[in-house]
Amino acid sequence: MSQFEEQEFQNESLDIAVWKKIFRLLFPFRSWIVELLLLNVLIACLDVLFPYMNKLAIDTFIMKERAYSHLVLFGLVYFVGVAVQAATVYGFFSLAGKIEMGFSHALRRQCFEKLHSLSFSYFDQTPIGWLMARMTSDIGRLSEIVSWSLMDLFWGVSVMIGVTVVMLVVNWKLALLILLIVPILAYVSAWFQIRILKNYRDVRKINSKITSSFNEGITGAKTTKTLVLEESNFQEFHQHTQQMREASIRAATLSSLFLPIVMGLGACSTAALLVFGGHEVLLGTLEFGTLLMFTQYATQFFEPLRQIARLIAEFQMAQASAERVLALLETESRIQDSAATIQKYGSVLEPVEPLQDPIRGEIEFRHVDFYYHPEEPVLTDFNLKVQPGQTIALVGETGSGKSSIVNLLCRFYEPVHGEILIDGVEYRQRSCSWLHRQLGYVLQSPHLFSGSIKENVKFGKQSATDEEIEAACRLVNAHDFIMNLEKGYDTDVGEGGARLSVGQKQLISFARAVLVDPALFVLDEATASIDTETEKMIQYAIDHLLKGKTSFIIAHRLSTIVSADRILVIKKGKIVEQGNHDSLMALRGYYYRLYTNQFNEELEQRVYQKEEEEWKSYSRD
Amino acid sequence: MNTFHFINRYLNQNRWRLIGIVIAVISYAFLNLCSPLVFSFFIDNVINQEPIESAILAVLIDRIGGIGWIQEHLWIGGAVVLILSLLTCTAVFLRGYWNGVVSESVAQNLRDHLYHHIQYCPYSVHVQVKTGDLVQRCTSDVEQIRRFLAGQFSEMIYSIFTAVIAGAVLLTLNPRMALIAVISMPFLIGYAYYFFTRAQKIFRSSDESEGEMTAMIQESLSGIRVIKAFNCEKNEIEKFEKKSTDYKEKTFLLLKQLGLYWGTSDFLCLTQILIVVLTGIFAVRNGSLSVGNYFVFISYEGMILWPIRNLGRILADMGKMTVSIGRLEEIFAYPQEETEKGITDPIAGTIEFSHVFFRYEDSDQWILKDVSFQIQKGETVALLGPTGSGKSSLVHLLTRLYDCTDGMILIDGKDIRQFQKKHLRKNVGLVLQEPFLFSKTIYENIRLSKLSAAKEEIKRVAEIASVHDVITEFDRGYDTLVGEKGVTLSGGQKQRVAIARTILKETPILIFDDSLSAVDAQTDAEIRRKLKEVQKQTTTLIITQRVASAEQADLILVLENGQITQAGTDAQLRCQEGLYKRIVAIQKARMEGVMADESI
Repeated sequence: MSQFEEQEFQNESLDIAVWKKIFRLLFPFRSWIVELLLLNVLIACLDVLFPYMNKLAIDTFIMKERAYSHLVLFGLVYFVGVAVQAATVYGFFSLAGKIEMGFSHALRRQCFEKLHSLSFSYFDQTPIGWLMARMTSDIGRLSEIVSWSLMDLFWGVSVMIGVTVVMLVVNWKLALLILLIVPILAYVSAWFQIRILKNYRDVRKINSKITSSFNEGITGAKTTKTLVLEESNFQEFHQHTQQMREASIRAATLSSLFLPIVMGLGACSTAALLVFGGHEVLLGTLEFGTLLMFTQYATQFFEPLRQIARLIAEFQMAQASAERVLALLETESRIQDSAATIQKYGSVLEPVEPLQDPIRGEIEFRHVDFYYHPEEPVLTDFNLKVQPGQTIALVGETGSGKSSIVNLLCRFYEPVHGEILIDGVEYRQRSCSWLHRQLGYVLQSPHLFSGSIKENVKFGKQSATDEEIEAACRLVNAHDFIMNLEKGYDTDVGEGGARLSVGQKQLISFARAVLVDPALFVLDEATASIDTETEKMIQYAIDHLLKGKTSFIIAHRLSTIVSADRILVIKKGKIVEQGNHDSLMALRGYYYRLYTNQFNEELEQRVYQKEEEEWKSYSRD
Repeated sequence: MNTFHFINRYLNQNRWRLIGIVIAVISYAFLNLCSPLVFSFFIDNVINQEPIESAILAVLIDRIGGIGWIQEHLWIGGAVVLILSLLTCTAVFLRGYWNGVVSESVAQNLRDHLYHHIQYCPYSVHVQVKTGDLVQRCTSDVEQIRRFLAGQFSEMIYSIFTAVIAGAVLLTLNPRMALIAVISMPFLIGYAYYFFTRAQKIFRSSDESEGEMTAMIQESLSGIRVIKAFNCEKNEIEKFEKKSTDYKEKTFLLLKQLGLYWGTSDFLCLTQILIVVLTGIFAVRNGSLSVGNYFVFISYEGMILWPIRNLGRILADMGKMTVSIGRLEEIFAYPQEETEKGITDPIAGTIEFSHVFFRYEDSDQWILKDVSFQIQKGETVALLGPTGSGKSSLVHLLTRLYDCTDGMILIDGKDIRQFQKKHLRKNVGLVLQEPFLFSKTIYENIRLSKLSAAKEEIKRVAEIASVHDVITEFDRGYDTLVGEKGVTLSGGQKQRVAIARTILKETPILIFDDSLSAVDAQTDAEIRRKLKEVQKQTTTLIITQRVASAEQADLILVLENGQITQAGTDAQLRCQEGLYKRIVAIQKARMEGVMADESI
């Protein structure tokens, strides 16, 4: 678990290697970045220009009373400066926006593609929430940093350089007076900014606690009320808000201390300017306008410095995001096809057409060892041979290894030792995509995607026509209920299929598998009880699906098991009993006990449903 | 006005701080405007040696030794600047600090009030509301108000005061030029207000498209098994590309709009400054403006323009805040449950339902019809019935999550509506079919119902609920976190933790609302056996769909479509025509079928 907890902010120095990699990812955007940098130089120049124009106004037009004709020129130059400023602001926004959005889009796409190329084991070990945080907030923060913050940094540095140069040229003595404050200010800024950001992060962490407390307070209402927890829940919540208040006030105090200190330091240099500069003006060694210009520069100088301190702290924070995103991008898939198989059978993203070596359906597990953790072996020396067209039911307790057998067959995982042969050929000699294209896989809890029923059915075969879709749905008996829905095949199923019942979702996931017309079928049956009517429909669908195809079923329902060609009873990774229903019942072994215990309940359920139906028809009469 | 009342409700002892903020902001605005005046005094009168216009000031300066004396002691100028700056800094600090204290205190009070209110809403409200929407209001709407108090409020006051004071000073210096100096301000405010009100739509469309993209990624990752099994990776990536591009384009459009706004408003501001510079030069040359005052004009212009530009934005944000307050007031309009009123007599455990009828307020379909039965103290009663027969509603009534529409429920011979709700619920232990576990450790989840419980007690109840072994198998045992950030418990494990939690508080009445449905039959029987041992005096009501769970009860009630159709012991009901007998019979037939299979 610990590796997925949010990393704490550490006051670590910038890791050049990480940023190098990030800048390499930024390479495609280099022309925009160069444009933006040039724009930045322009903005910096303008920032220097305006105070200089003001000095000019006083020195040449007020003190020296230059001719009005010069004033026209002055006004024109000033106005052009204003127009250029407006244009650069606009340009800056659009360029930085282009880079930010372009980079985040590109990075997200790379991560998304990466995720879709990783094997199942990665997703079994990594919480989706963790991945989502990488895909959304981390990438968002990173692209913001490389566009706006990087530019701000560049802007800050260029303004500082520009101002310093102008000041040194105009009057180096006064310039030194201002520059004297810089090291102190830099130190103070860095000290504060790091603490402010750290505090800010604390605040965000507490904030997410508050949000989840609200969430639990509402979703857990029934439990809260019946256990009379209102008051203790509230006390706990109050502690969170108290923490939040304290942390936020701490952050606010720090920021509100920081600003006046910077201002105070600025005032020191202004005061010094007034004393020394004023003295020189009195002596006649300094122009009056120059003194004014310096006072303006003095205030202008500190803003970029403050920004730079903030940005450096931000870069440190973003480094954690960068590291995590890079870690995701650099993850290697545990299951990889060799170059040769990809050439012949195509990769996951680029399957080769037409399909090479279609599957007949003969499966063999030969001396297969498998585990998720070395200390807990799941399968040891597992052997199994299946003839084409056979229906195999896997029966056994949770954790017996049924799912692992199926996961191996689908090549979601690969055996640690031994081999799995499809039509007599070790399946690693063909590509993943070769197998998955010919695989029909129906999950225990059917996962539908938001969108219409039609879109869900044709998920595995985008090219399917409406007729094909309808035929598939008819085959699994889903057509009638679909047509009874308001919009038929165009009905929106809602997020995760929430608007359909479990049984309906199951039928659609069957239709989805039928449409692909796979050579190999894997069915992980649902444990949830479904009403009798749907159950009948599903049974009918399964019978049609499996006809003439090699299929593996992780079975929970009595009727499915009974109609299988072969039942494998799995216990602790071993086949303890096998045969058909009758022969296994005759054994009076493990299967017999399982059958008599487990299925009583199913029978009871049926009685209820029958009763209910009877009652309904009775009340209708 | 509503806004003011609303915020005032949560200010409490922070009222004087709010006044403090106003004073600090005004002094800041004042001091900020003073510095150029002091500067202009030094420049005009001290350095440029112009005569002092103000008589009072002239007398004052004369007293301390005249301009000449100040010229000799130029450090006084520096000192004045420093003192002014010290005062300014104090004002800035106090403003920032009090802003923080006030906004965070109000946010805390508001959050506490919201949470408290939601906790005490009757159950019927919780069933109606959409969690996501409510959480959204409690977080982002509160944030909107907090942000206003944390900065926008003082900025608004600052903008207004600066503009007013500076305008007044400029007017006394040179009325004609003052008018020219403020000419663009109404446009600036209006433009900012117009833009940020309108930009709402663009902001929202960018947010929505980000939400869509996030949802797409989330869905794709949670359905990754299906995607891989169908080899649909390419298709998914194309879908993602579309969503991500849409987000990119919408946000880019937003940024361009923002750029356009800042560009044009920069243009307006800078042009205004240019106008002041040019007219200022003319005025100085005319002699209608002193050089020092020219300096005042230029500095003030810069000082007012930016806050004024911001004012439009703040006004637009205030509009948003009013909407937020309205949305929060809707939450506060939900009724509150009275849990403290009523008698708190000790409860022994006799239950009687007397002609109970129940239907939901917004429906005319009866859920329970004329239900009557009696349970003596210490008895175990099983309530059997199919889904939708009204079993759960019966429990809701007994714990007063709802009140019955007609008839009466009595505990120890007293109408349950006489009891204090809190007292009643503390005495009725209820285990739900789908219990809610909080995202805390397992230990804390069990301890919830009795915070004083010792560790041994918790282990003991966990053993009774047959969940102790499961817990100790986790890496961190009882300290394992439950929920999103920890382990995901199966339905059966959750139910058993909930049982442990409920029996910990030792209530005279215990109800299992189908709460062993996800536990296998053997464990079910074991839990019931262990419970019977420790709680002989407890009145137990078991709601179930299983005959096995019911058959040992002192009384079995069969509930069908809101009515009790059968009542009696297992032996009696087996002989009676009805649902119970039919279930038993079919089960038996099936078992015999198995035997028959065997004989083949």
